[in-house]
Amino acid sequence: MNEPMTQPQAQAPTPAEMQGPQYETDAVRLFFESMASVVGVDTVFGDPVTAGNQVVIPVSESSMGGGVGVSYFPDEHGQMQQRIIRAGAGGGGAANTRPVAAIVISPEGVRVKPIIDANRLALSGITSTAALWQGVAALVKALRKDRRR
Amino acid sequence: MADLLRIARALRPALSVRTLQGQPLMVGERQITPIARSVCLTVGVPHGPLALGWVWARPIAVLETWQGRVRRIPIYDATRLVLAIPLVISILLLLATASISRKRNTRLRRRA
Repeated sequence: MNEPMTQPQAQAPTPAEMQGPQYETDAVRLFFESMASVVGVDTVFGDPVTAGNQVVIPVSESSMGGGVGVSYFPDEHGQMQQRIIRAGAGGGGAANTRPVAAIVISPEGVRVKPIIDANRLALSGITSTAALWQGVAALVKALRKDRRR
Repeated sequence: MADLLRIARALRPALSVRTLQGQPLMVGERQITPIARSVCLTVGVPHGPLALGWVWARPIAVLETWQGRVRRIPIYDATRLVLAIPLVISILLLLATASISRKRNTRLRRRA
């Protein structure tokens, strides 16, 4: 009555099957190439928003990246088994979108209003100030040495 | 380590740059056509164990068509332009320092 449930044993793929289209990382490359069409005009230019007699189109910059790796392990004799039972794969990715400008269309004409990313400017301002300080210090040192000689 | 080197040698990069034109938008009598550019860089081993990719899309300009005239309005990234100023100054400072040092070394060599 209470028979234990048995699950069908999933067979591991053979090395030949591993070369099949579902395992090839060329599929991943194809994915990245098709990603270029996804990250396109529609991603960069947003939907128009009507405000009074003006139409505003938000404009942004998008980037997306990632990677994937697959590895197969031979058995203890250094040979690939008939059925690969030891394999590993990993992947990761990131996407970023940043506002760049807004296109304002009014009865007077079309204007592009830039958007300045204050947070990014502040963060890189700290590092660039340090780099500039180092550069000025090196220049002053070189000038002093030059005058002494 | 040898496996890593073997994979690194087998990597094949591919770069594609495309200028894309969006659907024209009618606002009153004006027709607005957005233009963007996408850069796609993929690195991978053909039929191999590794694949990496990066896609970047940025606005280029909008085309305004009004009363039979076409005007191209470029879109600049103000944040990137502001960020480029300290970078350019740093490079100029580096070049100036290197030039002064080179001149001093040449002079010292001549004296010796």
